[in-house]
Amino acid sequence: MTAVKIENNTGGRLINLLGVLSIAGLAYCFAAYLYLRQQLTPVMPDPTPTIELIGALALPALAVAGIYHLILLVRALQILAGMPTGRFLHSAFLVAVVLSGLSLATEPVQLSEIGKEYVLFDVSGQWLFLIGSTLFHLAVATAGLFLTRRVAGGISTAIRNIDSRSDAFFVTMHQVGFLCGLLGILGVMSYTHWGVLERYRAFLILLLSVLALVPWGTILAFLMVRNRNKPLSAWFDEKQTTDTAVGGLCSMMVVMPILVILSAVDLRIEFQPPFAFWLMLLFFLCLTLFSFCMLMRSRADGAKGSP
Amino acid sequence: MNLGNNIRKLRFEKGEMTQQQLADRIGTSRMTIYSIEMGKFIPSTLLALKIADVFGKSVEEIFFIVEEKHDRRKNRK
Repeated sequence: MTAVKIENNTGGRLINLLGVLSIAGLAYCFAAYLYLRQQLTPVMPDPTPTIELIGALALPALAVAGIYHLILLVRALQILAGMPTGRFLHSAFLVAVVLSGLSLATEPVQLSEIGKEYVLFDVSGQWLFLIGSTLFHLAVATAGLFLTRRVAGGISTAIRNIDSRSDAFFVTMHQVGFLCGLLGILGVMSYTHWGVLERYRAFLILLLSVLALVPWGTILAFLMVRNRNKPLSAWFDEKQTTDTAVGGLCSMMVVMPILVILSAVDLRIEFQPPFAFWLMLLFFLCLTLFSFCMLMRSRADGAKGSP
Repeated sequence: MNLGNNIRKLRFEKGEMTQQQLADRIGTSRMTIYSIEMGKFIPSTLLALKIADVFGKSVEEIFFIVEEKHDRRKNRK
């Protein structure tokens, strides 16, 4: 028993050390991107060995941050398994870890693309994205260090302990759905500000929508895998099933007039957005409203706890 | 007409049982127990029987029909 405890404590310390290393690495990447952005201009067709070294050192830093993000995801699941009910901060952290991890995975490719393109094309947008997302990773890693520093236990136990019929899972699922829906709406609505060619906009809207849906999709996938051998009626308890039906009805009643308004707007406005714009906007609107209805019902039904 | 119940009273008679403990015993969520206690949710026959089984009572001893006026007065208290 003592041996297990010591092992867990050592593991916890190692993870916290990895967190500190990850933050230091990301801070290095942030500084390196700012420096490289100024240095890598078309007047310097071949990067100097120092610049190449600075760029190459960012890769191990990103790898450490990537591993730490995976650990943070596991720790967020461990917290979920032990929570009496869903907490908004935890759900926001879960969404942030998944989105930050996904964008982290694309950064080595982006760095390589910048290295190939900076002589011929304007890469200021790509630098801006890299610098912005590094700040986001830094915020997630720092928050993770504080939010999960006292969590202990293994990944398999954490996943096994998550009860998909619990209040915590049910509320977290809808909080994540609400956040993903809001992010999706913001992303889709901002499409006119993206500096990309018209023909790529529909593709980018769909890509961004898929990214915004990954956290919610992951929870849904978990729910499906966990309950794969059970009939749909047994996935939730009977009140959760009733709430889902009522939430669905309420959101449908709200979405229908919004759909009429959106159609009227579409007829009146001059610019013609791509089909994907309306499709994804309506999808995220439905998701946000449905999750909001569910959260309001949970709130009214004592999600905060009672003896 | 509403469905009243003695669950809260019975929980405290049965060694200060919490809503979560009762929920775990009958395989449901704490929010479901809370909603049943508050009269916001009417449980299925199966769930009512499971609750009755935990307290060792009949369903009629736990659940009863209340007239709306009486219910309002009770809520005010």
